[in-house]
Amino acid sequence: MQDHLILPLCALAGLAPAQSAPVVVEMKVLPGLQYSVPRFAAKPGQAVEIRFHNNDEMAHNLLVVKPGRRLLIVTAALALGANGPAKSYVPDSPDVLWSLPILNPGVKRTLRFVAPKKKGVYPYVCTYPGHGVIMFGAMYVGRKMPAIGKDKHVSPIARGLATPSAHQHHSLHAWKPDRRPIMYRIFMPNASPAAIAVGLDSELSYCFDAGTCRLRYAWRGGFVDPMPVWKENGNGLAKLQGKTFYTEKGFPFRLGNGEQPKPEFLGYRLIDRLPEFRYRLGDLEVRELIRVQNGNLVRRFRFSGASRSIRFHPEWDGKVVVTTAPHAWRKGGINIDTGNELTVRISMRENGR
Amino acid sequence: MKWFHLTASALAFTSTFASAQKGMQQYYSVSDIATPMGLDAQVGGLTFLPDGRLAMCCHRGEIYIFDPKKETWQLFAEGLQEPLGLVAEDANTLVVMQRPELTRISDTDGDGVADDYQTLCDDFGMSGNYHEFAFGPAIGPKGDYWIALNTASNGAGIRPEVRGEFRKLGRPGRMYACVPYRGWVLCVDRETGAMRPVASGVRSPDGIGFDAKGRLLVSDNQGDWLGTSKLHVIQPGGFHGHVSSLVWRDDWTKGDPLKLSVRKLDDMRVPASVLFPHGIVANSPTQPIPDDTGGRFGPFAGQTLIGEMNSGRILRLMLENVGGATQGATVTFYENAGLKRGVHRMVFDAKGRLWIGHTALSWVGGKGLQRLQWTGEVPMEVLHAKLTEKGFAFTFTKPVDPDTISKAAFSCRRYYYRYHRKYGSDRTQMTDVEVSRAAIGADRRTVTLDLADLRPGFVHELHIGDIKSSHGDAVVHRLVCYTLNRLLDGTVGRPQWEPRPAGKPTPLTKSALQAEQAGRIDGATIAKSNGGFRGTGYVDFANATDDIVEWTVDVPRAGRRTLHVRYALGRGDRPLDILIDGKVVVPALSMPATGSWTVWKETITTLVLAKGVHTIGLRAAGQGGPNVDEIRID
Repeated sequence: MQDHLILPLCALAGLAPAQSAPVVVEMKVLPGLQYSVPRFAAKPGQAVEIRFHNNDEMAHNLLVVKPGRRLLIVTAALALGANGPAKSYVPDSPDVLWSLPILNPGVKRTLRFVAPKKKGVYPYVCTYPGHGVIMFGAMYVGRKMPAIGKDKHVSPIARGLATPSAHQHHSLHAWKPDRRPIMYRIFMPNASPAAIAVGLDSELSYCFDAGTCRLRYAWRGGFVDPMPVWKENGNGLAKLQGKTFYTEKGFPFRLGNGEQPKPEFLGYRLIDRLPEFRYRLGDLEVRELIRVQNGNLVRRFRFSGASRSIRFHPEWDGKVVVTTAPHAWRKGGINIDTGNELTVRISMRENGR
Repeated sequence: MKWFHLTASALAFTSTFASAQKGMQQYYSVSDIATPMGLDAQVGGLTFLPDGRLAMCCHRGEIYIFDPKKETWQLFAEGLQEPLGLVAEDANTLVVMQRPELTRISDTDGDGVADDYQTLCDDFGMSGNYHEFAFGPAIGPKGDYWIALNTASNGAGIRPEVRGEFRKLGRPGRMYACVPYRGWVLCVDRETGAMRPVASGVRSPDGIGFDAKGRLLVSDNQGDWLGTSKLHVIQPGGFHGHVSSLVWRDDWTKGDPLKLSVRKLDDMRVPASVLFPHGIVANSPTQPIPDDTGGRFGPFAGQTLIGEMNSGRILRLMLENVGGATQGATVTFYENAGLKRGVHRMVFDAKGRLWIGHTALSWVGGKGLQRLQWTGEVPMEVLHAKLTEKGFAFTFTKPVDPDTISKAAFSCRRYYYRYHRKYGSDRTQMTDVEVSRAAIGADRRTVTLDLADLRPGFVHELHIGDIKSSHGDAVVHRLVCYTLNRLLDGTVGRPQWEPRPAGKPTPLTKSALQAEQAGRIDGATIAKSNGGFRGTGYVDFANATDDIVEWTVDVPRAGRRTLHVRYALGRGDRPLDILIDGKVVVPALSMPATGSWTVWKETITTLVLAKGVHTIGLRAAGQGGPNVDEIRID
């Protein structure tokens, strides 16, 4: 029964002579109940040293068990019930080879043992209640490791982590400020409370206002810092990470009689990840897509409903040059036919225009 | 279209909470469900898709979909603004309530990622105040979407540019409604998105849902006009008590509603069906959810559960119809034992397991996703609490051991919460009520309790002692709070407005009568923060009208007397009505500013008093009144 060893820290020096230098594993805990080292290799009979630093907020133990016995041991640990804490959730079982007891947050302990002579994949696992199903890894003894993405002996999360992109972002969370394009509905300065921030590329971003159905402004630099809004309950404004170069001062369209229409926001559709905003002006539906071309902002308006003439007459602040197609831009605005698309290019003057 | 399509495996793991005591965990087991790493998993909404996958929206605007079979998460949508609820129309379409609008979000090309965001309804205002959360949707009996809009908080202002009409009349107050339909429940047509305002007077309606009987339940949070947190059963056209929203009634002609008499407002309002005593039962109730599992979740099928955000607790409601109105009781269903704080959104899966999303949003709460599953063993609990002619009848989930039943095994106390502008209310007129009889019925499950005095208008806290089932199981949750709005015979109680003995008469001498020792102080409170007062404190008027401080005096001989009122007032003029025996004898006596809240001065007026016992009252006359220290009659 007691053929497994719970080895005190210092009792190892005299054990079976190691065939080579010991394998040293610096083990910590990653968020999401993960050992920081998802797997490691040792030769049969090689000395192993797992230096476990529980840097997590929760308590964890570490048991090295016989091949294929992980779930059995996890279940046995759960079955300890009220006796679990006194036993550090280490069940009495010949399947448990070596173990570290429950380590409270911040505690460091080292587990030293000699790898079994028998080749195999030996799981290590935390049997604290609830952890064992996801917090585990594998010691490969004399066996070849498959690609980690296909290794069923490591946790699914570790398998996901093995992809190159995920190495940089240990996170599935969508918020990655460097990703482009990027879009958030969030409280923004100088807009109605129904604002939308869109980051087009590494340089250019704009604010569209779903309350007034129009482009409010565009800026150059980074995207926004959303944390003033997100850190608590929404009491704050996102911070622009750049300099505004274009501010549109009102709704850009006038109906035939010069009347300022009251637009109704209809939503948006993502086209190549870019939002095409939709709004209604009476019986006319307008769609506006903004993208970057050669470092300039390009707005594409499309219309549906009866074809007719409306006036495009934006007013703006900013050192930009505006050009339009198919009808050339004229100061004071242009009449356009809603049977066609309207393209509006906004170029920064310092861009060489 | 394929963009940002990440998947990751995540496993559910069960936590076993070993304990020597037999708690609820014997009957229900809690599992933690791992959420995507790095996600700020403050859950705003949960719903199951028809294919059995779970959709979850979170604080920073993401919608993730969890496949319980593969245990994988996938990002479905992002960039939403504080989504606080969602429902599924089909496997590819969700309807989400986010801060600015109700949005239909679809994956139209079948790649698992949303690409179409249709604004279904944004016909309501936004002032930019952070507290203007939007809740719902609940799916109504005809398939319509019911939503509820939070009021704004005076903890912050509004933005220079608002969406929707601004009404100045809705701007004053602790929680306010200066743009349309703040503090309202609205109904949105599923096809056209057309919006219909339904009921006003909610303050912070985080939870909205229909129960098994088709009643629209809305939870609301303690605050101004809410003495404690409550459950509304929404009445179309009804005013549910929080005042600022009244300015958005079509027919509203009465100006600033905060200036109306509290009594009039109270007459107008629909009383809450269930009150959740603050600090005892719940501080912040969240989503109501009917147990529609047909028994797969245990013995409470057909009843409604409701979350409580501040603690790891889920409550159970036991509602009944008394005289045409819904009222009833609440009891804890599950607490702690693995259940985290911040219980916010709940949904049952096809196997009858309850999935629970947590949130905090800077208040007391938690994060993450959990699942609660019935073990198949029935706990000994109060299954139903029903009003009887003389008290209450409890039906238990299991046969009761008759030897454990006696009137000493139960106790009862009652109190009410004041309706007023102030934040919260003390438990008022708290009184122990004698249990005069406890009898077990022929079914062995029902215990009838008679009370020596059954009074409508009060919350009745019923405490259960060492009652055991016939197998010796103790009752797990032993506090049942019944909100007794009306008796079986229809009698309604409103203790706040019922005349009360105004205390023992004080012989009228030339010495001063301290306000803090007055026989009756209604609405106003006793305070001592501004120095310079005499005695042990002064009376601080809380509401614009109706707050009253009243002394009972024994007048030795009839005659003309001078009434001196010692008071302090920082600015303005806050007149008081002077009443003798409840009748106004001096209307709106001017109480001009003394210049500072610590400068106390006197105003005088003349009273004609007959011999004998009389009450002398000072009542707020529209401006709330100054701080009153004492009166003197000579």
